Amino acid sequence: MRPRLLAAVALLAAGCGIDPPAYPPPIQRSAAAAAGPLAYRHFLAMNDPGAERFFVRDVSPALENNTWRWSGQRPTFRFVLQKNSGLKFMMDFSVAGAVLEKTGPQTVSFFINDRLLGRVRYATHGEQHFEKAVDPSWLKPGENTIVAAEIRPVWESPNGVKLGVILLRAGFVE
Amino acid sequence: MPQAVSILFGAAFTVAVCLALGRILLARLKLALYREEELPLAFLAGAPVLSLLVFLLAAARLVYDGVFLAMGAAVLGWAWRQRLHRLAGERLPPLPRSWRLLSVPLFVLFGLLYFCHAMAPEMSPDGSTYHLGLVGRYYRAHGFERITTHMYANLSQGVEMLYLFAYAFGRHSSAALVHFAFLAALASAMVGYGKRFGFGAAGFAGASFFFFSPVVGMDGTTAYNDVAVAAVIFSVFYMLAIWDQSRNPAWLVPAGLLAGFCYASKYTAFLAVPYAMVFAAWKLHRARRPWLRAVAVLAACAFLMMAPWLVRNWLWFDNPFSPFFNRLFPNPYIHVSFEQHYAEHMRNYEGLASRWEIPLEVTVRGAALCGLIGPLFLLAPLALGALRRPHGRRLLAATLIFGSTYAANIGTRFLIPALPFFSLALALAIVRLRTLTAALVLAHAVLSWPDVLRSYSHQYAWRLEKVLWREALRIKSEDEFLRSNFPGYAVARLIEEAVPAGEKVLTFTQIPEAYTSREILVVYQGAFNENLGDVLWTPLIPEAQPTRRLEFHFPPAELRRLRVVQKASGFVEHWSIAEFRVLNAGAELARSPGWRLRAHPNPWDVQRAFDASPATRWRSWQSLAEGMFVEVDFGEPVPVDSVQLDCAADQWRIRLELEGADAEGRWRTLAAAPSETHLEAPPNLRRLAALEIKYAGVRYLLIHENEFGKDDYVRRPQEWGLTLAGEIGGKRLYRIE
Repeated sequence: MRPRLLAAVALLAAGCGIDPPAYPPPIQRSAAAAAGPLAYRHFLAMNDPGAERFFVRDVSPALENNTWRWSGQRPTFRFVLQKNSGLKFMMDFSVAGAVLEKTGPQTVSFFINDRLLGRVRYATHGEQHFEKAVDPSWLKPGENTIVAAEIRPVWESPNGVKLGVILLRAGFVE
Repeated sequence: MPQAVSILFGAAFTVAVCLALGRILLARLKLALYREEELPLAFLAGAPVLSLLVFLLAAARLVYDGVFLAMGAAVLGWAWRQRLHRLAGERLPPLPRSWRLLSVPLFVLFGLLYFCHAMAPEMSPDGSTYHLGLVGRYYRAHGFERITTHMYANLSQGVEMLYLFAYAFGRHSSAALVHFAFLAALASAMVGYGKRFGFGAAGFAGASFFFFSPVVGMDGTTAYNDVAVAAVIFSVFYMLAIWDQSRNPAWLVPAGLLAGFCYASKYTAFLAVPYAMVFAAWKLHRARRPWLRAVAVLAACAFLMMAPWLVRNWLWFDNPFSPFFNRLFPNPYIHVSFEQHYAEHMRNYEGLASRWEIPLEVTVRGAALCGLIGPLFLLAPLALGALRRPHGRRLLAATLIFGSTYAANIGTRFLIPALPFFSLALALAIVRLRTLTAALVLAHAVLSWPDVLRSYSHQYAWRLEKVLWREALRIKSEDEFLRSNFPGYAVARLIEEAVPAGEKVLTFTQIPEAYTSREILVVYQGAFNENLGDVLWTPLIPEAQPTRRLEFHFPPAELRRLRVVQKASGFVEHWSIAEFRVLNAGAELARSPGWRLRAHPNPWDVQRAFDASPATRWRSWQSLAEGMFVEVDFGEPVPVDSVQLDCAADQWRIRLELEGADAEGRWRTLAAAPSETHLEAPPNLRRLAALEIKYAGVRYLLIHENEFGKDDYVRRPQEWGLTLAGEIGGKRLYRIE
């Protein structure tokens, strides 16, 4: 009887592993890959010719004063970088007094390829500059890099348009 | 060689080699048979031997026409030298002339109908999809391939090994003709059984009841395997009866081989093994004789036939019984949830309002349960009359045993394994009323003939339509016939033309893969495919998109491991995580190659929660159960203060807790519950999903006209990044750019 019992136990033990296997993190997907092949681009001013090609979402198509554009809740851009080391992400924008009056202080969270780079709270209106080094492992040369700024709260106009901040320029610098 | 000739050669050669092997086996064991038994039982005894030989050749990647031809010729030559081509057994008492006059013309008529249908181009649903689809793949690969994306490839395929032998010479129709040979052998064996045990007329009537049955004729003339399985089960029963009569222990060898071949042919026929062992043990025990040796012989012979499939599955799919018992043998190839859904689906056919409809559905209508056994079987209660005779009781017991698996799949054809026993029992019960029995045989034949069948069965009943002699002889071309009668064929040919060799096609619906050499991935037929289907549906189903952000905050700490544990249980929904992020001071920790990720259950997909893609997710692929977890081991203590999970909304009742372990491995609860915020659906989700499919090595997508989300692909191909590669009958083939 004992050998049969042992065989049954061995069978069950072989089938039911105790510890699940462990795996390293996989290749990180780039959301920007979805945008299709593009020429290298690491920096973008809102009034650059053809800038619209690098907008992913929540950036107004209307260029104001030939300089700036309104953002929505989560302005998102795409870039294609030639390298990934020694880069800082920067963004110049302006917190609009008219919006601030309606919403109170705004918090902007900056994302690189869906990873949170930093979060800043802005309680006063006027021009702002955000700049922070980016971990090279977050970036893939030759692939699209998606950059987003999540703005909370935003002002929603009576006709349903969401206004976040005034965008001037954004991109990667050394 | 004209196609009809190659078809006939393939089938005849296979049947002849089976016969020769059976004759050799029985002769080596010095087992004598009556003249009427020699052909059917030799064929059935030889089938497992040839199946095993083909299995070994396929495992050795030696599936070549020349190898098959040489092996078959050697077997035939050996049998010839032994003079085994001559039938030498004594004759059993003949049937009364009146019975012969009634039955022989009917058998000839139905035999021709069936032969033509078997030889006509194969277009049965399962035969043209997986039975021959896999046979074709093995043939092209010159042997077995480790196919982990096709649950039907994990089933035992003993009969398909014979189809492979025939397919080498005559392709699809040769395989179907081999199945028909099993049908003919079974009917013949039923007659022989009746004659041997003294109820020849009942044997003839029972064989008629079985042979004329519409679902038997339909199934047994296609590349299914149900009738073959029924034949093998019956041969086990028959040989055990001969052993019981003669007590010649040598009969236990072919009986054991055939019992094992039952499992090797269809899992649900595994009951033949315990049946044979219990039968032998019981008979010997009653005779006060030792039984262990007999049972051991049966078990050893059965195991010889079962072992190749058990070992293959264990080595390739981590589960000897794949695609079942996945909870007991967890593996990355078949999800537990699939097995549950599949079993549920098999027990509940669409179109059947109540179980009370089954008797009428399986005897008269034939649509909802796919086929009918014929109105004759509404007289089933009469079979109880057979209880008066020992053989009647034995036949009814076998009916119950081999019919007991019907509850697992209530399709009509799953009655076939028990039907020979029941047919004989019914005939035995009424055979004394000769006129009534003859009238029932005649009525059953008339009611089963296609033209009559059409008048009372459901318009969509699975049945034979007419005598396809032009198609069988290929006077009408196979391609022309299939294009006009079998819509799936044109789709398979479109794929063959539009998809380059070596490419894979993902589809939500089965297609007749036996008519294309391209690899077809059906989303429900494997864990890999199911993950791709999940990705493809994510952009179309808002609840599947990662719009729930669950955040655990806790006092900053240096931790080696973090684990999110799921506490709810008893709900059918699955737990899933699209992205698992670890943060410190508001910034995400970069995922280091030194991290180690674990999950329970479904550990094999854990990377999908750490791949920075909102289109993929780790899923439990099981109902919620307490103790499920996803864990990250940093390899060393790191400062952390929060964990962020992006999750789909389709998991309303998950209950999560965060645990952490320090450098010493001491676990503690860090946060009893997460806070939750709503996220907008990620942009470009369609394109991201399509790219995930492409990254997985699949570049083509087949969408049928009635499938979920079809309009979205039609309207937004650019957002998906799809190019139309072909279209036929509302089915669209897309290439992923």
